[in-house]
Amino acid sequence: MIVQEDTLVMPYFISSSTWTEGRDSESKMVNRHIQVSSQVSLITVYHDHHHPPLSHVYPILRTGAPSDGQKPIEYTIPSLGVSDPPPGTRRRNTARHSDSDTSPTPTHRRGRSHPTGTPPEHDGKEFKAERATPDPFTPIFIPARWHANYHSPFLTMSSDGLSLTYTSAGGHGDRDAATALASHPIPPHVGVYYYEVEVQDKGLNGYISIGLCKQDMPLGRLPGWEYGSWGYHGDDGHAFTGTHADTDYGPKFSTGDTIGCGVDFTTGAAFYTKNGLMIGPIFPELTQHGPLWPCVGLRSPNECIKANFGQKDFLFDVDGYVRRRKDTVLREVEKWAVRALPLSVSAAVKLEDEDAPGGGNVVVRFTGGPKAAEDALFRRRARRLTLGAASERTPKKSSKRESIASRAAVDSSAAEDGKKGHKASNSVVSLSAGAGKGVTGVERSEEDELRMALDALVLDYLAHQALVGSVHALARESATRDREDGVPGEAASVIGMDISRPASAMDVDVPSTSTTEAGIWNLPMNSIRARREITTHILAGSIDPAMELIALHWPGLLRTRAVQESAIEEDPTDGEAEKEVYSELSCRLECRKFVELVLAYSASPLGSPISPVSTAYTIHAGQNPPSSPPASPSIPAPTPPSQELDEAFSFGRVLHHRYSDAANPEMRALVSRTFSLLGFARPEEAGGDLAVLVGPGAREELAQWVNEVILLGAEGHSDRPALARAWAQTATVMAQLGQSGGGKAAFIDVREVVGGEVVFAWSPYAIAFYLHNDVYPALLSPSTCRPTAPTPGTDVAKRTVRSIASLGRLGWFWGSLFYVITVGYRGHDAGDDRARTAMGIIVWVWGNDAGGDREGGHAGGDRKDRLWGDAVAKAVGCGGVHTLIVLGDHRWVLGAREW
Amino acid sequence: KISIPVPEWNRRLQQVRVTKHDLNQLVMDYLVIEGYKEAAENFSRESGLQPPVELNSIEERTLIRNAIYRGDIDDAINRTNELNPEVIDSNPRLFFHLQQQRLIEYIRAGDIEGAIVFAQTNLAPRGTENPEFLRELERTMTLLAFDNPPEDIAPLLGMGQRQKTANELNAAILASQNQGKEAKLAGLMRMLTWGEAMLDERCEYPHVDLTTGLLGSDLIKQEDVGLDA
Repeated sequence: MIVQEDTLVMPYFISSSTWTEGRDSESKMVNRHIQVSSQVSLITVYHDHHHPPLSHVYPILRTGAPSDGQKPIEYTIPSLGVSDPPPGTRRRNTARHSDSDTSPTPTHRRGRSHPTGTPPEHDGKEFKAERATPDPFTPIFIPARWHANYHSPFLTMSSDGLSLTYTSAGGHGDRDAATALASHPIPPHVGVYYYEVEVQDKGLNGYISIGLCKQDMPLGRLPGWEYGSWGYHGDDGHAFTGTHADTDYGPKFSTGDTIGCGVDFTTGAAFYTKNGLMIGPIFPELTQHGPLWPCVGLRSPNECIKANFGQKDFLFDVDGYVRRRKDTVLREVEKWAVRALPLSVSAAVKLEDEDAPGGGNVVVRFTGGPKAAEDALFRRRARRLTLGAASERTPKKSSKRESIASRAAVDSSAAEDGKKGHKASNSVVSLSAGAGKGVTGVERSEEDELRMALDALVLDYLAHQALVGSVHALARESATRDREDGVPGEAASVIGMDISRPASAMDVDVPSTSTTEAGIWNLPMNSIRARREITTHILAGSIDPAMELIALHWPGLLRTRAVQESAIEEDPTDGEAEKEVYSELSCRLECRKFVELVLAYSASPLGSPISPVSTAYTIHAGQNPPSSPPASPSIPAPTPPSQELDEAFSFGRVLHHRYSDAANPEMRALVSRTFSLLGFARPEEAGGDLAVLVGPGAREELAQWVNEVILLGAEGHSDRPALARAWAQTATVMAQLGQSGGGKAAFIDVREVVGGEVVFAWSPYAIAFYLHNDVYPALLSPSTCRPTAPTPGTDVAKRTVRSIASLGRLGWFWGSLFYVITVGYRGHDAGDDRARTAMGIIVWVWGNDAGGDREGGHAGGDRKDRLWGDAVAKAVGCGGVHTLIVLGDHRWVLGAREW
Repeated sequence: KISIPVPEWNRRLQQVRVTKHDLNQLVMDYLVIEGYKEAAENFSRESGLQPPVELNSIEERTLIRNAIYRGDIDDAINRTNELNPEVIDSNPRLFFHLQQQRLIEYIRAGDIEGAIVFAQTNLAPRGTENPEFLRELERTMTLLAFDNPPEDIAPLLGMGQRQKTANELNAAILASQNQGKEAKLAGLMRMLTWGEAMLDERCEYPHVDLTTGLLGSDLIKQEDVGLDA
């Protein structure tokens, strides 16, 4: 028995599609993970080659990333086959036929169709579990063959599990019926599912029914006869919906015909094809019935069918069908009017204190649309974004607060008007004076409302990122957008603010140019500016000014005064018992400062000779900290050869003293890790954890982290900007929608619509998967294990493209370019034949199992390539990978062109 | 109906990795498409992200849009034609809507005679080409019959109509520059609301409330923080 490894590279990326593999093999499988990067794990699966593995790898699972971005994906491929729990019970089957004296004994009927001792409840439970709490990394299987156990005893199955022959004598009318179910139900996430059945022999009468059924389908009935089953019958061309009610649906079919059966989860209906031609939709609302299993029923001797679950090309152009469905869905979303945006600015622009000479306050209120207004939770949280705050009212802040509170009450009561909430706010709008004949106030188009809400979202993001200049510019441009050519005109007067008159701003120290904007958008400009400066300092490596700024604006963040417990016991009244506790923020910043000092030293000409001394210091630092570290003379103080080092040392002592007894173990670990930098003559060459400390991304990461800590800790804001939350919500909703049977979601990919960065090294759509010999017979000749490059333009090349494209029936990477990288069999000699197929988009790369060669031979020094090289090297290193296929989009292709 | 508890939902939300770079691109795309030139410049400088287009092309679009806001349709058409004559020539619907807006501007200005002449010479021939245009034309001409137009046609005189026309022209110009006709951010919001509406039929789950925690969303809180002091 040949044991061979398949390698499946499982990429995961933000939110959208994760790919999993379904396979049906009775062999034992062992899998192991190799983490390649934070995004990619190679999952190596050993499997028994004897049984036909699933020849296609279907991308089915659309869920989020695993909980911890740094951990390898936990992914298990359960063993299937004999132990595979069969679907439900079929007692009804025998009961129905017990009146027949000539029928086989019930026990015989049950014999093979009911695997002994398999509790049906188990199966049912699994379904429920999967549906109720879908685990992102539970593999989801697709039908791949006829179920090994779950077919009528009248049927004989071929070894590949695809062909069924009716082998009973027949002659008992309806009681001769024999049905087989596929190995797995259709997962609703796929959007569109399709399989084909070729009638190889119509047998005596050609009583063949092809269709779908629920789990509890009696195997002694034809699909369509029973409730919960649907079938298209060859002898009369009628379609049966399980109630003996039949529809004159399509043509009859017989020997040599290929019938396709599809389920379109976007419409909820099924469709059939005959010999590659669409017959039409049938069985509306089919998909409401829960998990559906492909099934086929035969009823007269010698009938023989062969199913194609994707092992070879379909006669019907299902890809085209899916493409059209996808277009339809995308158009539907495009037309979707964003009415209930949870942030819609319902154009509640209102002049406040018109009598106040200092200028009006412009209040744009965020409310939900009509739909959100129904949401009590939302109403409670109704917030407002104050655009203005133009007039000076520092002396009566409290009264202003009151007025806001009271207005909030009014507003919320307006929203309480229930479904008229939207309208109510519009009526507020029309209070504003219109200008010109017939101009009805500030009535805004829907697009404009959306635009204003989006402006606020973007402003929030910019403020969150502390991009001061952008905040100012956008605030000004957004406020003046409707003005005509910069002159306050009709539109501006509609908004009711006069920005040419700089309002006395809340913060006096702001430069006058920005006063205006800061006044109009009552964003916490001081906070934004301060955070901006802090970020800039950290990025420049100057930690001290950053800390000073933090101490100035948010003193509570750096250290808190905590009462020492031991001191309390001794003398609770002693004020001196209070001790300053340094926060993690302080710790990380000061550790960074130390790193900067060390780096500054190592960059100086005196850098290298100090290494022995510093090692000694490191050992000291690594030990359990003495109670008074700086004073402890356990080692002779080294004579620092330079001022930089001296500074580093003395600061290191301070650091050590400050954090050696920190409660947080991570802080202690960080401090000692930071110290160990001194052990390196060239810290920038340190590996492992230290590399992270000195790496180029460290400053940026710290700056981002500090920004979030300030936002979270001091400002009380979410650490994620609203924009990011909107994105996350969208992705999560889509994933859940797919799992809940909203078939349309299968065609929506957040990334595709939004675009965005290539999250992992080569492509968001990249996937490497294994193609089996069955699919690809000409490629790998089993006798020699020597790959044969496909000749461009040949059927094999075309079929490969088709095979890959059929994976795309889920609609995720149409239009992507494909790269196919094939790594040679174990023991295969090195070769680097590349050939392009007829399509010009597939590149074959043959190689051997020496992973290093792969990297050396192909990586162009580019990091992406190196990563990919690593991935391949590791895959090959564990032996026997023979086919990896990577589908990449153009970004990856661009990066890998020279590869 | 499945109900997804809040902690579970939050866990899933946390799993979604959204990178700064993604968001930056989303924001840049928005600023460019919406024509916030200055903001785009600043954002490009501060975030280090290259704008996808020449930022000056933003300005031209802004001028065109403002011309329509002002009611100066001639100016908008001239500017557009200077930019790219194909934009209007290849888009009869857009051209009709621009002409319709022109007619509306005549009516707004009270130039009844001018309106009639314009409609007869410029709009009526178009109207015969397309029944939809004809209906629109009839609706617009109805404005002349009323001092206080009835509710269904009054919006034609409003700012909203100008914005609609401006948006249509803006989208056409963007398309001619091979840019998306709408900002990806708007697409995201559309997906969000579409998805939530679809999922509402199947699940109960926490909806997102984007206003919570929005910076600057809460004046009271900010005063309490007392940054000004």
